[in-house]
Amino acid sequence: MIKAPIPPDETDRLQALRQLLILDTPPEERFDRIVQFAANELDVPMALITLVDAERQWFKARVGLDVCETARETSFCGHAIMKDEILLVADATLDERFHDNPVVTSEPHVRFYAGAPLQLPTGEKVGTLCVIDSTPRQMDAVDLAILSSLRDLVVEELVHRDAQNDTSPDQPHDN
Amino acid sequence: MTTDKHNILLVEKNAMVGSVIASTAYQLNLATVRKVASTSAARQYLMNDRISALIATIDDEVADLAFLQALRDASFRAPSDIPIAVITPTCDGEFAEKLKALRVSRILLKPFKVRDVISTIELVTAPGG
Repeated sequence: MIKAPIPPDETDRLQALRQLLILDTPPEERFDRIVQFAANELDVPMALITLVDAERQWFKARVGLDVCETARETSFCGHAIMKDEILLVADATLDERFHDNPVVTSEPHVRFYAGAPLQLPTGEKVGTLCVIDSTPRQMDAVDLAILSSLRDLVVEELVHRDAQNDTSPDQPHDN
Repeated sequence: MTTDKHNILLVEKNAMVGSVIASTAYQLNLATVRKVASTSAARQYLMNDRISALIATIDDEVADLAFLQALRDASFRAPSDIPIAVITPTCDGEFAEKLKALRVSRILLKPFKVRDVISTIELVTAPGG
């Protein structure tokens, strides 16, 4: 297994992620419906919006997975945020980066993974929209374009949410 | 095929579905897809803009078929013979005959997948589509 690497802009990336004020927040319908749509459209049992924190990946929205976070070093998404394009792993057991990864060799037995990096307008990749299956599979150009389109919606929602936070009224204070 | 050539109007109430269809068609360089939420909004759009194909969700059979008939009657800026596809929850024989009379190229039944709409866009943007 190759541990998830640390990108060169890690400090800025973590700062951008934390400025979103989204880590460990409750589920939100606007994100839940995107992962549900991705799972239905692409016929996969698992779909996630992941945010890659310093030591963990935390799931803002999830379909088909019970846990809310996993270790960063064993995460596929930690690899996906290293690239601009979608990371496509057709069969994890045949990939040197993942073949002996615990999430491949035991539950949830990941075989197929496709992760589209969530790149903020400022350039930092804070996580992914990913779809996962426990059987090997491929994606064609239409599947990839659909995943990319859904990823763009997630980024729009993250930016919109961030803007809402910025415009929320401050706590009352005396002048 | 280029996005300059094909300008498709999509009538779809669900904004997320419309956005994913438009973005996917753009990324695949199939067409530029303009989105409106209703046939009344489509009428407004077609007063000012030309399109090369229409994909319309049928929610109100009478009103929506009247819109398609108006399109075929050259009531708008679009050519009256453009390809039309419809999305509908159900389609019995009588309804299918009405759509056939309106020269509808394809009927998509709900629930549909974005992939199905992309195939439809490929169909209506193909030469002779």
